[in-house]
Amino acid sequence: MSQATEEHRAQHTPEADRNGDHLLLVENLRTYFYTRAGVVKAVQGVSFHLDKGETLGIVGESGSGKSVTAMSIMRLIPQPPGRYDGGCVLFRGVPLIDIREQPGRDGRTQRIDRSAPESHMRSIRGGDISMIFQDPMTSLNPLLTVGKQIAETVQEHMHCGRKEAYDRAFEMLDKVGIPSARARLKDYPHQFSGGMRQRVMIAIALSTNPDLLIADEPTTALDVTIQAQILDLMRGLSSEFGSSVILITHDLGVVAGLADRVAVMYAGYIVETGKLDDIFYRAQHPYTHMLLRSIPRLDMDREDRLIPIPGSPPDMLRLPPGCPFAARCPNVREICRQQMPPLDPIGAGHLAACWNPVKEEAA
Amino acid sequence: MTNHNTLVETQGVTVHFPIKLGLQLPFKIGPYGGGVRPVVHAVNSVNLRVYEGETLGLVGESGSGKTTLGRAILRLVPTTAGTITFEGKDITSLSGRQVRPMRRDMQMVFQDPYGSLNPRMTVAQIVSEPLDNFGMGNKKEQRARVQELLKIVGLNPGHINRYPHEFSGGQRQRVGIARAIALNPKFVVADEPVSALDVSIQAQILNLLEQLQQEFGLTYLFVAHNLSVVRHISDRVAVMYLGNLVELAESVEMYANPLHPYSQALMSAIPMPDPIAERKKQRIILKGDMPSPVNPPPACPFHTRCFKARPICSEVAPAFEEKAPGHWAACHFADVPGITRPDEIKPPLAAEPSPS
Repeated sequence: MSQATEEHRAQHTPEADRNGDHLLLVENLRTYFYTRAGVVKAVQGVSFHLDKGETLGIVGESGSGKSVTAMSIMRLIPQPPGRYDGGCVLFRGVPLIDIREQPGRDGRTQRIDRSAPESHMRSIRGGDISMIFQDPMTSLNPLLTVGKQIAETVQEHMHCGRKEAYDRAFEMLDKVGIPSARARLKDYPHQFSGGMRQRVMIAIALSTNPDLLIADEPTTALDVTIQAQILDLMRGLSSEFGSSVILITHDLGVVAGLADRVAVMYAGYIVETGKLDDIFYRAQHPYTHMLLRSIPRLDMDREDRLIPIPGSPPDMLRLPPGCPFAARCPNVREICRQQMPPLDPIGAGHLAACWNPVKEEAA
Repeated sequence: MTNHNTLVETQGVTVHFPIKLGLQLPFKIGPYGGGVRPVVHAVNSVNLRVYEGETLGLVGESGSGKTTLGRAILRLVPTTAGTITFEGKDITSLSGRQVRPMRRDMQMVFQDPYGSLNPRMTVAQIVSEPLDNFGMGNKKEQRARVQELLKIVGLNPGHINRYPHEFSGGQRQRVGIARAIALNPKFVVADEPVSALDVSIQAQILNLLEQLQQEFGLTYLFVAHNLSVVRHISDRVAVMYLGNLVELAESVEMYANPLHPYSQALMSAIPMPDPIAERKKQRIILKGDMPSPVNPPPACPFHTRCFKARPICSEVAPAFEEKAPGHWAACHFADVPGITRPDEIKPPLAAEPSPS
């Protein structure tokens, strides 16, 4: 960790205490977009934590706020139109985002921003926290060789010379399973296939030994057999490098094979979170419960009809009050349309935001 | 399937696309030039039967030729060789004018519910266009028919004058389906009809397709890359690799007992939304990528990545044979177990006891 980081942390001992043992703690994060059509509350009060070596899967449909959550942790949301409207993100005790409101002397609410300076974020991004994006076609620079792109990251964050950086680049390409890695350092992204490019992205992301790897739909753009290669690679690497991983995906199958814990997002909220098996076998939020029953599975009979979730996800510009799932929910009650339920514990490490959760099924 | 009337049959259907080169040189540079026009071997000599009333799933990765085959059957792309028969009638050599009446019976549902509907047309115009094309009914009758169709696909008939942008993705796909069934077709090619939709919406559309099939006796060719979806909706499944049909079997049989090594790898690669199954699963991780269809490997197209490959595989193309009743595969070693390179088979992740 750089000296600046240490200093910054020293100024924030109260938060550091709260951070406990968690590598990452996100509390009540709110990211809004102020567009001409209205305010999009993409992330509305999301809280979760991540420990060292853990893999957290964040699942949700498009527009549920899972990618915005990830981008917010990295502070990559373009401002404007985006704005962090509250909450904090503590990474190893350092507040990457710390925004709160308190009444000022004149009676109006005052916005207090104690987030880390941009200079600190620069050393964090790609250094302590790395990110893999969905689209390996557009996330690499087409004008630079692959070796240069890995070495650049290494030089910036590990403060080493060019030669060393290229050695590290070779080592990484080799580790992610690219054949004749030494020669391929000189190749440009267009000379690689989609799966290979995603391997290069992973090599760049892991080249700095990050504590946290955020993978945003890492296999969505890939074919099934190539997806299997990449997932196999990620499984091996997170155990080898000891990195914590946030895996963002809409594919429940990918989560089932990779994550330790899962957070399910819907319309900007985490609606349920818990250990992998709690979510898949003991889901209590009606959305999670129904989602799992609406996807075709290999072990179901051909004759079984799928049970679809009626309706469609809400328009984020015109969110109704109360629980955003109320309009599609079979367990809906009067209170659901008025008040958003809090994310309350329903078991050890298992939380759900629902006024009327699904009753435990006979196992 | 008790009913075995063949509705559509392809025999040796081949589709090659010439590559347009920017600069034609009289001499050879690299693999091209010198008068040899390179072609993309999109579909290679495919023999396939689609029975009346069934859903035939067609799976494969991108570039496997599954979409091209679907389009070739509808005569939307020209075939290079082979014949396509529809209801016993050879439609390969029909002229554009002759094929037009056939279009009433053969329709298509497209992948992209955004790109396949004209944003400047109302739903009424979109769904009544096929009726118009075949001169069915006057304006008033067409309007009534459109409303009926909207009701059938689960849309509000009152939304007849809305534009596509006023609908969600799932609703738009319903509009596309209404258009496809407007003429009471016999055969519908559904090309990735749910892959652009949100997970919670996919089930709605799949159920709708099944319901329409029962109601109107439709026959589907269901093209998709999502293997769990294909298994759910299909009676039989065909697997394509690099333009070739490599395996064909009844859906349950295909997933329980795939014979071709590629199908085996494909089945083992499906991520299952079931942590216990994922932990217990044996994975076959294929090496490398699919070769270019411009320059496909000789003989068996899969031998470059196959974990069972022997020298013969690069010398003699395996025939597409019936290995078990109704189960076809193109592999020299389909029925030989045990020829595997064990380093590519991953053991289960953990032998954890299953939670209660």
